[in-house]
Amino acid sequence: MTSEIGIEIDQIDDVIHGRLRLGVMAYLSVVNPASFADVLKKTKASNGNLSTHLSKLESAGYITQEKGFNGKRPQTLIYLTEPGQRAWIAYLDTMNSLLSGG
Amino acid sequence: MVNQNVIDDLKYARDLAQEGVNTPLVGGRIGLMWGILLAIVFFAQWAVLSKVLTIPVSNLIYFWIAFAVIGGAGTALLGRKAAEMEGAHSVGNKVDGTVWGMFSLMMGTLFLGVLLNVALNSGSPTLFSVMLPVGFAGQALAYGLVARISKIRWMNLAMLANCLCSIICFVFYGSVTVYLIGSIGVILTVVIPSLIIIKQEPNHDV
Repeated sequence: MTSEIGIEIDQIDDVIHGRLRLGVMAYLSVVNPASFADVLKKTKASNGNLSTHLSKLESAGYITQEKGFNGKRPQTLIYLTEPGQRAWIAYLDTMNSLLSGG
Repeated sequence: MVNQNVIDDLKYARDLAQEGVNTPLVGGRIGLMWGILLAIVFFAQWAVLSKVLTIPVSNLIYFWIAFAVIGGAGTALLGRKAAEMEGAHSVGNKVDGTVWGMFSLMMGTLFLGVLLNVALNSGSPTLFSVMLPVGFAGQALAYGLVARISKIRWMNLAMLANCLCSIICFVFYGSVTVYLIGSIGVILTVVIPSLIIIKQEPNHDV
């Protein structure tokens, strides 16, 4: 499928291209790893909604989730993986092409 | 025309990334602890060597052992707390943690070298005072790097203050006074910046 400015819409990474997943990827690109609670607070998402979107990113291999403990408290750390970093850069390049007209 | 939703989504992503970039530093408490310990030990060193405090000079080793033990244990404890704060793994905090870790390694190496020189090569104990100008210069490097990476402009002042302290300590190298200058210098260049960092640090418990 081609947009009116000539870009292949199929080139846009559908895994990243969702508001919440986009936000998660953007935040992880500068804070890596980030705790689940940290991402929850920054994105203002609900617990369940964030978990669902994180699972989608994890299935694509863009992030990994590591459950552990910080002292005695359970903590989940979310890591942006190397394929995730590459996909994020590719996504930004695609969007840049789209917004700058090809 | 590009869908307005896409633009809104990208703006949302950009704001989140910016929040991550702007994450405050989380190591203020560790810096404060080392600053207070160092100021006390330098003051004690000056007081003993200038005979303001009349205890045997050899007892100074206990001050330094306490400094290392309390500092090491405190860093482990406070480091764990700092890791719980939001944005603890931001680029700025990673650079901050790494550069101060490397600085500690540098000072430890220097200390060991001087110690071995004095013990094995009959070197002068005066050599220990070389650690002050070198330490302040090292701190200037650390502050300058963190200021550049984290875009914290006031930290450039801390960098300049450390450069100044390094020069002054070189001027007084070899004299007992250098330790008193060091004590005051540490309050100005470590304790005060650490208090500012603590004031700006993010919430705990994320």
